[in-house]
Amino acid sequence: MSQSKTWNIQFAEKVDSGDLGAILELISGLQESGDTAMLHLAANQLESKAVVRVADLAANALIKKLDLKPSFAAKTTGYTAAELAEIHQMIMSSIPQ
Amino acid sequence: MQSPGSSEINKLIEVAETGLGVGSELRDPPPEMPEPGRRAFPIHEAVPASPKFFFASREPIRPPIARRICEGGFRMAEFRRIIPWQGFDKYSVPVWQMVPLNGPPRYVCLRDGAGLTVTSTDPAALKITEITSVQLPAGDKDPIHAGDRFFKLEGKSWEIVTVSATTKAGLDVAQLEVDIKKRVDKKLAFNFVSDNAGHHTVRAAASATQWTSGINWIYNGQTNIFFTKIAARPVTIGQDLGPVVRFAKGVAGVPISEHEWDIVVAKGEPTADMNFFMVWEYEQSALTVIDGTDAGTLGGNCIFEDHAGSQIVESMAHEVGHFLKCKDQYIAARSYELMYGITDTRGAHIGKQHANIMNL
Repeated sequence: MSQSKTWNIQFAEKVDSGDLGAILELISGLQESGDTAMLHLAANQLESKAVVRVADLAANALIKKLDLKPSFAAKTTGYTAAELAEIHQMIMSSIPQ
Repeated sequence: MQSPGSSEINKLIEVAETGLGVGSELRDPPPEMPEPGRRAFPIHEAVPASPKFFFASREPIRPPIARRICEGGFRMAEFRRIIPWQGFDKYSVPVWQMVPLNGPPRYVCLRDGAGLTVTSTDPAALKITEITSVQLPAGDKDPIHAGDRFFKLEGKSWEIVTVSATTKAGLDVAQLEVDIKKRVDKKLAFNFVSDNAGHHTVRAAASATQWTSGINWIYNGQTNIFFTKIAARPVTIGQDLGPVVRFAKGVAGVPISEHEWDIVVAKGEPTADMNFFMVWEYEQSALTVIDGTDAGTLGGNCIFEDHAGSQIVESMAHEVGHFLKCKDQYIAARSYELMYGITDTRGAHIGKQHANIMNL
C-alpha cells in the first residue's frame, strides 16, 4: 500500500527498524487498531528471529485480530517456521498492502 | 504512537499476551490460500538448492571496498555502475548487476583496476567484453574517472555468475555478482470507476499510456519485467459506494457493510495480470478524517485513489511491486527504494533483494 505523509511514519520506522518497545506496543494495541498497515507491520514480525517471542506474540495477536483459522492449533509460544509462514501467507492473501 | 522505554518492555509483553489466548477451534483449514499457479513467497519458505534462488534474507549493507596494495601506495579496485536505472545494486555484497537473458547488454565500470584480469565463473553464461568509453551507449552516465575500465555484459543462459577482478598473483580484489534474468511480461488494465450516485474518479483514461510507460521505465532496466496496457476503460458500479471506497475486513471501527473492495474488483478485466481501479477516495483503515492510505493492492488488484500524491507513476510502480510479492518497508534511510511505503517520498530503485522476489 502507499501511505500518505500524514500517517504515523516515525512509529512505523521504529517497528520496521526492530525497536522492541515499538514492536510490543504495536502488538499489544493491535486489537484496537483500525489500521491495516499496522497489521502488515505486525505480520512482518512473524519473521522475527532475534527475539523469538515477538513472532509468537505477533502470531497470536494476528490470529485473534483477524479471526484466522490456520491448519494447526493455536498455542502460547513455540510456533514453528512453517506455522508462522502459514499465518503470514493468510494475511498477505487477505489484507491489501 | 510513541515507543516506550526499556523499563516498560516487560509490562508491554504482559499486555501483549493478555487476551491473546486462542481456542482449539483454529484447527480448521485456512479459508484463503495462495492463488494457484502464482508462486507465493512465504517468509519461512524452504530455500531450494537452485542457484537462481539466491537472495539475501537480510537487508544488504554497504559493501567494503576491495583494496589492493600496489607499489608504494594504497589503491582500491571496485566494480561500479556506469549507466543509471539498469539494475546495478551498490548496496549488495558483492555489488550486483542484473543482466537480461538474450537481451540488451549491461555495462559496468571497473575503477582503479589497471592491470587486473576480469573473469567470470561461467564464461558460457555471461559474455564479457572490455570496451572503451567511446563504445558505451549514448545517454545518461555516471562521471567517468581517468583509468576507468568498461565491460559489456551479455547474458547467454539463466544463471548467477560471479565476475572477479584478479591480480597477476591470482588475488581476487573486486567482485561483481551478475544475475542473468529471463524476460517476464505482464498485462495491466486500468479501470476508471464511477458509481450510480455520481461519485467518479477524476483521472482520465488517456493517462494510462503514460503511466504504463513510466512503470516500464522503472521495471524494464532494473528487473527485465515488461508491462503492456491491455485496457483503459470506464467501469460503473451499480450502487452508491459513498464518499470513500473501503476495504473493511479486519478493520476495527468500520462496519463490514462498508466493505466495498470485492464489489469494485469484481469489475476487473479478467485477462489482465493486474487491474488498477482508479477511485475518488480509498481507505483501508478506520481513519475518517486523515487521508491515510492512498492505494492498496491485494493479489492482482489495486485500488488507487485520486488524492494519491503527485508522483503517480512511482506510486503505481510501488503497487505493482506488491503484485510481484514485495512488501512495504518504512526505513527512512532506504527511502530511495521503490518499496518504501510512503507516497511521494519513495524513490524508484529496485535492488537485488526486491528484484529477486519480482523476477527470479
